[in-house]
Amino acid sequence: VNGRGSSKVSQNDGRPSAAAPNLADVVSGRLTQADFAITAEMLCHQANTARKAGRETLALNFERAAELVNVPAEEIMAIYHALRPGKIRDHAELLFLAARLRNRYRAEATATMIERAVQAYKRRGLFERRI
Amino acid sequence: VQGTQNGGIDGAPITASLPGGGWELLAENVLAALLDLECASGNDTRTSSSEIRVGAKIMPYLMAGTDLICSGFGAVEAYDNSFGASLFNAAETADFLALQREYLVEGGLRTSGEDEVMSSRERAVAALAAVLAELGLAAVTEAQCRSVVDASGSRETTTLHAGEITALSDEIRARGITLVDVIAALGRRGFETEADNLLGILKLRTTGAHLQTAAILKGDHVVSAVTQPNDYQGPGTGYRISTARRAEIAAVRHVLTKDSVLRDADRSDSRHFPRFQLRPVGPAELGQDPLEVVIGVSPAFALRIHGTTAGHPLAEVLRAITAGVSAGGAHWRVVRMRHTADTSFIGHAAARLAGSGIGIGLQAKGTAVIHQRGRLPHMNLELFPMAPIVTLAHYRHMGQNAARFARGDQPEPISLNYGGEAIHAMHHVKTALLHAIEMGLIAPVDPEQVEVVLP
Repeated sequence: VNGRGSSKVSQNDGRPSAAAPNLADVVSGRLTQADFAITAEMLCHQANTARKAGRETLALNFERAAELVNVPAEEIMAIYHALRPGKIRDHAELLFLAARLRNRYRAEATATMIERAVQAYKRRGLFERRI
Repeated sequence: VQGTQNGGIDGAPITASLPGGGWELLAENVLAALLDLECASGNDTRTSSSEIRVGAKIMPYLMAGTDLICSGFGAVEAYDNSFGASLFNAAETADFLALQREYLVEGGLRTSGEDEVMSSRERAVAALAAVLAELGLAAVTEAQCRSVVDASGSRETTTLHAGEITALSDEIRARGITLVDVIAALGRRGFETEADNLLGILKLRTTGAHLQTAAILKGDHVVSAVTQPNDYQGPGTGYRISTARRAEIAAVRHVLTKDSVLRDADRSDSRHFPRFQLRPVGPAELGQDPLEVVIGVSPAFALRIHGTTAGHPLAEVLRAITAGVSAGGAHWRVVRMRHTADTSFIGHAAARLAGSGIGIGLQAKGTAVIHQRGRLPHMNLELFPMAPIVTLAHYRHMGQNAARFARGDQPEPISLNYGGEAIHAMHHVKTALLHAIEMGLIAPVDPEQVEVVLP
């Protein structure tokens, strides 16, 4: 996953770059799957686009996504699972995952959202077993 | 945003089971649109096995002219869809294209020709086989490929079975094969177009433009609520179908034209419609023979139209009727009417000429009537309006009944074997065009006596 450096593949305006690599670069092996990962910059660009179009909620969503480009997929899946209503009994697990996002990956907005979710889940009894 | 409506969409069968459930799904769509969320329409899961209920469910979308009828369309046979059947599936594609055309709505599909479809399928299967071979995943035979190209669904193929495919999936995962490897394999095997298409998608993915509200891939670029904001302001606004798109929607397969109908009715292929002659021998006289039945035929009969809508050659139809008249103990004479193409008036005119006062009216498309002198034109003895289901045995029986009327009997009327088919839907357009061909030959000329020269 390429979270920092600029992509070899696309420009920051959201369009594939004119000097985009051609098929020969793929056939020769110069480009690999990692070169086709979206960057934090690009997600922030899409956040601005959404915001300019009046979609603040979607913009925040893109900004959280930008925070997550360096987070391993397994960790994201663990959070996804824990956030499913009734899947965990003890909300401490979610608070732990949130703190790790904040401290290890500087994913402040995402961590805050999970903490707010914990409050909402407690209020609505979503940590209890559901039938 | 994506997935906001998932519950109401995948769960549509549950919603539809509740009183007012149909309204609830519609209301959910309106709500999604008002909140500027992505609208999924609720028309991808099949909510009922009843075709009438599926039709009723889709109707409000057609009436409203929405530009998103289904967020999902089963492009495979329903049995191959492991998510379960869609509201519309591959087998209903022709129906969907017809609905799109009938209501001029944007259903997102267009009709393609047989050649275009077959060459795409051949190319796609060859590309997949090449990828499997290039990546060392599987070797498939030419026969397996052919079976997939020609198949409508997996049950008709001899390709890899489910167990082999599971093993293949495991290997892809274990070896970490990605789309980039697939693109490289396609490129190495000479499938540049396909490789470039996939590469284009990968490049688009790095832009994130496809993550904006209501994004779809159109050709090689993304359109979304950002690039094309919803500008609906009431009737007549919002997305409008362009003239070019309208023509594309209208161009379904098997559209009938006067030329195509005439070509079919006049097929020179003698195996279909053997040619025979109705040789004019002068003006038709009043018959004196009290056992004579006159068979009146229409202006285009055996001139421009050579077969009935049931597919019977006109030579066979005349042979059957005349054989029936003879078997019934009467005599026959054939007269061509030039002044009318209407079955009743043809039969009426034939009856007036007949020595017995009994006539048969016969249009080239096969519609027939038994008439009697002195009756009003539309008060016939027997009428056979459903030409597409009239058999040669019926025509023979018709001749026989006419002969019995001529002899003063009251024969039992002939009943056709009509099973309630939508006979008008299947034949009305063709029939109207055939009638136009008959009408084009009408002339203010007296009935013509003809000599039948059968092959």
